[in-house]
Amino acid sequence: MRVKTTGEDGVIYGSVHLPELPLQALLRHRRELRGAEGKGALAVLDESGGHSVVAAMNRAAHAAGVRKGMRPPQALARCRGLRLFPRAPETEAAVSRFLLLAARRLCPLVEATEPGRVTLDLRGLREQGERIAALESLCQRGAEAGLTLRAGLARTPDHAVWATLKGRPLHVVEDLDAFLAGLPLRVAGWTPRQMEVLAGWGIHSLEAFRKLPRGAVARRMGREGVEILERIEGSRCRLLRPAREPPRFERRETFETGIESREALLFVLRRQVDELVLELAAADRAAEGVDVRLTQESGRPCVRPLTLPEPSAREETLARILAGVLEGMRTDSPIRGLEVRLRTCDARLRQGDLFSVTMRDPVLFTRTVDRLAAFVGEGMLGSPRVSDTWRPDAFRLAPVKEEGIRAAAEPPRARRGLPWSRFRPARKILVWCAEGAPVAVEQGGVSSSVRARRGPWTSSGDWWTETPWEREEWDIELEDGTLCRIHRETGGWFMEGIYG
Amino acid sequence: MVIPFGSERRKEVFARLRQRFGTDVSRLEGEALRTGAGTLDAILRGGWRRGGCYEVVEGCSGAGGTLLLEMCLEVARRERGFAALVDGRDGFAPDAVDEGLLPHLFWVRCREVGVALRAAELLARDGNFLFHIVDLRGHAASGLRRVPAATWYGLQRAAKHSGQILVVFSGAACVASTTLRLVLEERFGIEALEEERARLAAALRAGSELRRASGFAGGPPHAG
Repeated sequence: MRVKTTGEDGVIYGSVHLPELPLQALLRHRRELRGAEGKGALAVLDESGGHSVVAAMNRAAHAAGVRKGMRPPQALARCRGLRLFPRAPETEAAVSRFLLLAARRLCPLVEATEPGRVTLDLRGLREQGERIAALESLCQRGAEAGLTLRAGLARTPDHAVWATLKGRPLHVVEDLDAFLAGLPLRVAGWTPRQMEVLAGWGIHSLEAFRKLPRGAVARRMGREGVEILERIEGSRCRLLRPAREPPRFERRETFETGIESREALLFVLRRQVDELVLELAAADRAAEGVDVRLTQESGRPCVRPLTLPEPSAREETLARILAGVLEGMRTDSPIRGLEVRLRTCDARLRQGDLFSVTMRDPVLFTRTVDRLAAFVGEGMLGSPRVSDTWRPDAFRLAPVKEEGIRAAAEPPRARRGLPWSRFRPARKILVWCAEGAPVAVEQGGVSSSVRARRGPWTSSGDWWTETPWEREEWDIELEDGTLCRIHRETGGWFMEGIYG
Repeated sequence: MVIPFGSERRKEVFARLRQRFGTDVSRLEGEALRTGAGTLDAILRGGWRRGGCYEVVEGCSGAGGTLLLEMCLEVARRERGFAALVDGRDGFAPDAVDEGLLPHLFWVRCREVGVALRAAELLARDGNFLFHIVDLRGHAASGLRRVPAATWYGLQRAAKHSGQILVVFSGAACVASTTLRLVLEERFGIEALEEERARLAAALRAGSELRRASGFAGGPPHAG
């Protein structure tokens, strides 16, 4: 281990811990348990060692006598109504990641000491008050995310880590004797054999060990014992190993059997959103877009990219939007994989535009659009934009989620003539002409003479492409007063629309 | 929280706001939105009212329905709002209206009455739009009359709740829940193709039929 002696004054190392990580992760993973957390007895089982043992429990279970390391029958014997749950490793990882990313917002040098624990080098903050405020803000951020955090501030990383075990929201180590009093021996990282030896000597606390003569410790326990003594005294300070893991903002889930019901997918999606939101909150980012990818049993991917109307980091908002996206996706075989990837932006840089108009509830609008698109069709809705061409009826539908909901407040322009509505497609008609001008039209077996006319207006375009066009337009007033626009092109005469 | 238009609670809230801020809340409360055409404003008893349900019957094609639709978009732009157009026959021509109006428009292209009404029902529950326009012109009157009255009442109530101005364009009277029905019967002549649109709007002739009194008391703007 690389070591250095402490040469700087003041408490510069902070540590933040998620106590009972398996339990906190479980309560995040199974939201239906959140309300019951304070009422019923819960315990989380760790099955990684080949047999199940209790890894964490809530207060009710602890009060009933359930302890870590107990086998399920033992735990149930002490607490009859105890409910046992397996660990949620993915949520534990997500919660630990949240802690790491949130800590990295405070200082660059952060060590992921163990799952659910980070250690920070806060020497960049000059005043002790600033360091305390930084750790408090981190605990506050955890509380906002529904997590309970414990923080410690001390002269060495080890002391900071041990300070989190004191059970207070924030413990600042100022008096070493008072701090070491009551700290169990095991926190110093002894081997089981060393623990036995110390127990034989009648040493049960760090404070008691610290009072042993240094030479005697060196003779009996060798270099390891001296190192631990120096760590306890605070004269040896290990170097932090900074975590370099960047935020990913994506979640992927593969299923052993194909999923056919939307509800099952929604359940998985909800959990993924929950984890992603933690990550967003920790990194001070907001989602501005999201890509949902379904892997089908047929092997064909089904991808739906979506741009959010407004960057958001709210769980409810993202869950609602993604549920809407999932609703609109059509697949031809059961689902074997679900992937959600967020495109993010800085949550703090967003500012309203005084000169543009935005919707009151863009999230609701996005849901409405998703539902509409499911039965009208994706390409059949949007905010129209006239294309920069003379080709008739050339327009595109702007993706409303990106620009259609934001309109510039432009002054109106004076226009002439009546607006008109189109027939799509244009209706085929028969036209009788005299001296090149229409004098009568027949449509669907009904003929009418032309009372007045304006035209012709000829236009052409795209002659350099494979789809050139050329046409002759007339505005005509029929006998019954109907004002129409008709045109002639290669295929004959067509009624294009009606004015009014 | 959305307080339904016309409710007692809303009146109470606006009474308190008025007491505190004077008359600045009148636009929120339900002041009529002027169309810009005096004759039409007179028919509409001051203009379009939020939460109102209007039916525009174009007795003969080309009688000014599209012009009126464009006027709705113009009001939406002026009020810095948005309009949703459920186009029941996919006939809206983006190149026929002022380009500056288009960013304020959300256009849903449909071809069948059933699909259009389903889209209208979804949009009616979205409180983001000032105007909710349902254009069913071009569909046979017999088909429109088969639409259950409950559908129209549902749309009208949703519009009232969300504060939208619901305007249904049709070729024949069919909206059972309408509060005011406008009937356009006079066609424009070919000379109208040279006229300024503002003058055409002023020349728009419509008959009206008051269907339901609620919300159209014709009283002062603060009546709610």
